[in-house]
Amino acid sequence: MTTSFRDLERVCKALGLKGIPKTNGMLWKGFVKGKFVRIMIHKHSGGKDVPTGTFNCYLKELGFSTAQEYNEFLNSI
Amino acid sequence: MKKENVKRNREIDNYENGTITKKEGRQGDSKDESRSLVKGGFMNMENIGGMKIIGLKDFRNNVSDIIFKVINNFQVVLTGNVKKGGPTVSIISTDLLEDILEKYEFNPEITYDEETKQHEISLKEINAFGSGDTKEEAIKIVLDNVMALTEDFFEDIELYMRMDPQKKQYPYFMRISHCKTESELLKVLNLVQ
Repeated sequence: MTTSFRDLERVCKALGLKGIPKTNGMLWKGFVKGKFVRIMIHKHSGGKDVPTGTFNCYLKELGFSTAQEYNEFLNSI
Repeated sequence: MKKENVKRNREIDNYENGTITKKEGRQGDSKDESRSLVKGGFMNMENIGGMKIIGLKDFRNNVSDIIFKVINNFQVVLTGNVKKGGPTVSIISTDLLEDILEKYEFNPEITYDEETKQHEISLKEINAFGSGDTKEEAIKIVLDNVMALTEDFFEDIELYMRMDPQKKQYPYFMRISHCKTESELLKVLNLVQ
């Protein structure tokens, strides 16, 4: 189970992370459940899916325990 | 040129021996000296490890000589407000710093993800990722992401140095920030194919 980078950006925004434009994409950063998170999304990645390893790391960082929990949150925004 | 260097070194030696100002010599005789972790005059002290701490005024007055010696003789200089104490600044040759930073190695994980049919690169040391349809594209993207993360790290360094996980990334970002070319960065990140 994975997600697209575009959806990941929507989740970052909904969690209150601040989007900082960079030359080659957008850097999302801020605090989620008291933990500092920094996620860089490249401009060429937009429509592509997040590879499994990267997705699993981001899931934990964003405070989700499972991909299902992430998807439920995504569907609610 | 050689003559000039000898003269310069002599001046610095005199300076380090405390013969530049008489004031320093007098203050070095202070009775409080034995109770402190530092020895020597107030304006030019030496800590327990033998590293001299040069007062700000002396540093300002001898800046070019000090920098010459730091670069050419691999000396490390500590400077700060010697009278008031507190944190100091270390001046170190860039070559020496880069040698020290070599200890902070990057171990990239390069995998192929069957589910998304993409090549994936992760640099756990700085929490950087990159992916692409080809390995070359993944490398290009991870390089761009690393550069963006490095730029942000130093722009917001006051925040990052207050958080332990981010503070631990400092030497890695410092290593990256010293790269002059893309090929040098690839080498530092251990991404040379």
